[in-house]
Amino acid sequence: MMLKTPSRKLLKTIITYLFLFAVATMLILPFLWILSTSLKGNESIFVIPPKWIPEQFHWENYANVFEKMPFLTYLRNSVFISSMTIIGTLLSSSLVAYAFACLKWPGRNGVFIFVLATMMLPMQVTMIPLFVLFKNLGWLNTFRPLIVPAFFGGGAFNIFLLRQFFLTIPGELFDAARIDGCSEWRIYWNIVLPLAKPALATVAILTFMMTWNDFFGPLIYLSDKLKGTLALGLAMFIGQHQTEWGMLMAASVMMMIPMIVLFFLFQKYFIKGFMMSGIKG
Amino acid sequence: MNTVDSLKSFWKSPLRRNQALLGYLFVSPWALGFLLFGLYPIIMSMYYSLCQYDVLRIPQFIGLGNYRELIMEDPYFWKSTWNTVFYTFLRTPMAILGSLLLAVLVNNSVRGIRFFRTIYFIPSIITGVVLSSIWLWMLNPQYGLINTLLAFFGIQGPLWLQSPEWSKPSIIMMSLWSIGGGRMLVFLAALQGIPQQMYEVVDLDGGGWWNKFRHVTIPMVSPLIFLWTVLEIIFSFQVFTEAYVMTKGGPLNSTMFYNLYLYYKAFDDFSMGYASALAWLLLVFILIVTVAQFKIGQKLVYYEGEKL
Amino acid sequence: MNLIKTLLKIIGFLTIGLMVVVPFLVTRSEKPVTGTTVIQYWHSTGQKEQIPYYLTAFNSINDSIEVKSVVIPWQEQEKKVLTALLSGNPPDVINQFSPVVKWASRMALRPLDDFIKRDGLDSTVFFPSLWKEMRWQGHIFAIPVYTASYAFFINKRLFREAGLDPEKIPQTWQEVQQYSRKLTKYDKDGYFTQIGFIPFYQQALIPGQSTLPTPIILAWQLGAEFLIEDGQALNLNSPEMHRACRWMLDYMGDFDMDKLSTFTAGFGYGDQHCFVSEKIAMMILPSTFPEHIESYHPDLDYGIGMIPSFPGFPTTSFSGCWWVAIPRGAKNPDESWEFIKFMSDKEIQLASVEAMEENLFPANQRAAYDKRFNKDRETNIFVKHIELAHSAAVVPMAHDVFWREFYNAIEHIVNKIQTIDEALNQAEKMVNHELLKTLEYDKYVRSKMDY
Repeated sequence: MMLKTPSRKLLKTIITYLFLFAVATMLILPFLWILSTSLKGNESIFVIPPKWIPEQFHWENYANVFEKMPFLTYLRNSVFISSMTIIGTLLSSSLVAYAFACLKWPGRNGVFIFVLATMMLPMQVTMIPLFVLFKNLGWLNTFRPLIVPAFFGGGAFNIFLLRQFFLTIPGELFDAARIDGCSEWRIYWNIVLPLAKPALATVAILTFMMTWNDFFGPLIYLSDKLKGTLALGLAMFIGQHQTEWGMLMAASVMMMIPMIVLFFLFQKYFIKGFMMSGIKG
Repeated sequence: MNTVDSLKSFWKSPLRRNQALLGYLFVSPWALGFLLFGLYPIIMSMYYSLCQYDVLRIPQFIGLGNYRELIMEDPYFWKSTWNTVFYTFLRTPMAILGSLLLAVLVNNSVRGIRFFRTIYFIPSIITGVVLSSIWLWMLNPQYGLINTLLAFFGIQGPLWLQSPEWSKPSIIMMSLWSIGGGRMLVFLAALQGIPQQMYEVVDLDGGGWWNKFRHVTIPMVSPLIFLWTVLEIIFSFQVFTEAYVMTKGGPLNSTMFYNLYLYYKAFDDFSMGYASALAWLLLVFILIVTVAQFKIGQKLVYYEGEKL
Repeated sequence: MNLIKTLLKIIGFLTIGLMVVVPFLVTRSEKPVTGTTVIQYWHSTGQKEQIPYYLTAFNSINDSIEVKSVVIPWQEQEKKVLTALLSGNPPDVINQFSPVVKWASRMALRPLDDFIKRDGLDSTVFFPSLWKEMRWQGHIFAIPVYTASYAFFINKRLFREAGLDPEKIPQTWQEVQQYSRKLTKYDKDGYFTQIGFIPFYQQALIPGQSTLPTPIILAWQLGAEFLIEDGQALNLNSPEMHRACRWMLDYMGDFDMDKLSTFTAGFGYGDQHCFVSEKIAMMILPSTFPEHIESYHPDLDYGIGMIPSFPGFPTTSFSGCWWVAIPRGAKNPDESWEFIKFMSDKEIQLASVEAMEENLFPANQRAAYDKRFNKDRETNIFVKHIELAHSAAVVPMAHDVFWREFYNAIEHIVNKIQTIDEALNQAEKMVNHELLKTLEYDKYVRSKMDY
């Protein structure tokens, strides 16, 4: 029963693929619909029975997006904001998470709960005073309100996430390093961070997702047309009486591609067996 | 030992003192950020909760009037609380279990796994109007995809978003499509960190698939399960967008969630003071639930590193 | 292999880096022409062409003022305006659809009386129903520019099938009820396949759009007065409103509510809209609808008439308009006013509406009645409705609360969850409570703040 005969292994693989395909079929449906709609003209979007493959392929929906909004400029802005935010978040949230997970200091648990509590106040009520704060700093109509806070802890969510990951690192590692005379910084930089690569990759991806799709921040902080982001640009297709569905979906597809590509590439941090428990190290 | 004594003995040891100082140092980015960007809005929102305030003009202090009115006289407060609690406690277990199982499924090195993981990830990046319009279409009782599929099996699907009983489950179902997103990713990363030796030990002991799952996987991943339970609850209590875009609180107020009501009060009615009071009550409630979870977590969660 | 990988990585980074940095270097900042004042105009209309006709026209005529068009997203535009007002640096002119009162009563707009008086702007050129909405506590705060309208649509083909004369559009609600009985069809299981008219049901053209509440039209026709005590209280459970609701319930008595819900739940958007897909034979629809029909179902044989009323009572409609105003704190009020004045001119309105292609109606009634605009019977009917319209701002100081409670009450009445009295009284109580709070607060603020 312990040995895996070739036929058992084959069975296991087949079952795995079966599940993988089944789930994939269900989960991909919304995206397929977006793709399909992006190639439709307005007249066939709501037709019943719903047509998955459009009769006419309206490739021009994609081209028209570039006319209707400054796509490349917005792309550039989104890339800039997202990458800066990722850098800031990775740096600062890992530092802070280290403090909560790997160091002992008085008041640690209380402060941690406090950090969590900052996620519990709906942003609807802090939005206005925060706006006034940024106005007084003179940061309105710049990217600063969107980027700078990322360098100061990166948000309670990321801190919590990394803390949990850091807590899975065996205590013996730290003891050994400290006995060897390693400074905390070196432990952080040379031991913990490399071990937490999948966690860091996760934080990077999630941060990218959040900033890429963020509509609200850019809406209220940016006034120049040329300073907009992709998420803001999408909103331009939605009017009071009319929504350009084809172009909206086309723009969405184009907006999602960088994230999909990034996710696909970052997979290399998630290869099974990549991260060993570290005891040997 | 009372706190002061333990503190004193703590500071006496230079090693511990050193670590403590470093602890404060490492935490300082967050602390600084909080002082700069967090403190002012939080204090102001607390102040506003004690006022009548329409954002465009000056606040009028009214003490605990908002709170009293909320609790004693506002039927929407209770209705929205119920809706939100229902949503949260129905959704959270399903979301976490779903993501975990999915992560186990994709924690495989079969060919093309990258491709599958990406497909599972995609629904989680669809947001806003696009997401809502897809689901409005998919959940259409007559020709939407879901009911068409159900009809295939001979089941007559409900009215989904237009039915007071099914509106919340509809939204929950919608959100479950994102189980392949961040949550799955986090669990996957955690699964990657489980040393192969642990599974081999179970094999040697003659255990099968279930034993591996129960005695190795779950405990090793428990810090992240804990993470997501806490986070899901915090986020679910603040559910807003789907109801705002698709149902506007209906039908018959069945999707009037707490945060939606708060939004209406803040930005439609310009009653920012009242909305702030709602916000602070929400915070207190979530905080209590979270602290309770931490207390429970202390007993259930396994950390290979430091214990909480 | 490693070398190639490293090389690829470097190229990848460089590309991204360049993509980010280079545009910063080549963006030219717009330098204003010296001697001109540049004013900012925030709007979300004219989406078909981003720079509205009237703006280009104004800029070409005016040398000393240049208007910059800033299109803000239709979604969340109120939030954008709100934060702009808070920033201390608001735009010079804003174009909004939400009731003037919402902003004016919160001292967010600059009164325009002095400009109107100085330049002798004749306010009678505007539809009185629209002009009324610009006023708050004795001052004028905005100028109406465009509006939409409503009318009663019927499906001529379905009429013929039912043996009704398609040219005789029902004039009274009783007739509507009679016709509806002939126009309602069921399938063998008793489910609706077609229905004549649903008094409380309205469907938006696109998801998320707000809908017209027919019941209030009924109440207005019967002469209901909602705001009483000099604007201090709402009277919702009035005899007229009660009668309107009773009529509705009586009408609905013909139908099974569950089956009706199933029927209406199946309506969609685009060509699945209930009227477009010929599932409802009679409906009150907005003036943007004909274009909608054109794009989704051009062969639909439909007719337009005045909204029916009760015998002996005049009909009415529902109004809301696009208006322009100067936010408080805007830096160039004189220039803003020049632009606003320009926009309201009859000829400019005619030309703009033509160019904008959005089926909007000019608020300037001289323009609306001009033969160049009022080309056909259809347009004329819509224009007539604008004249008869009641304002959507039924309870100015508690506008959103009123509408939320109103829809809530109707929903509960129609689904027989509450009686008419219960529902209306509850809604009335909630609105009055909110109104009281707001009025008290308003008094407090006015005692402390000087406008």
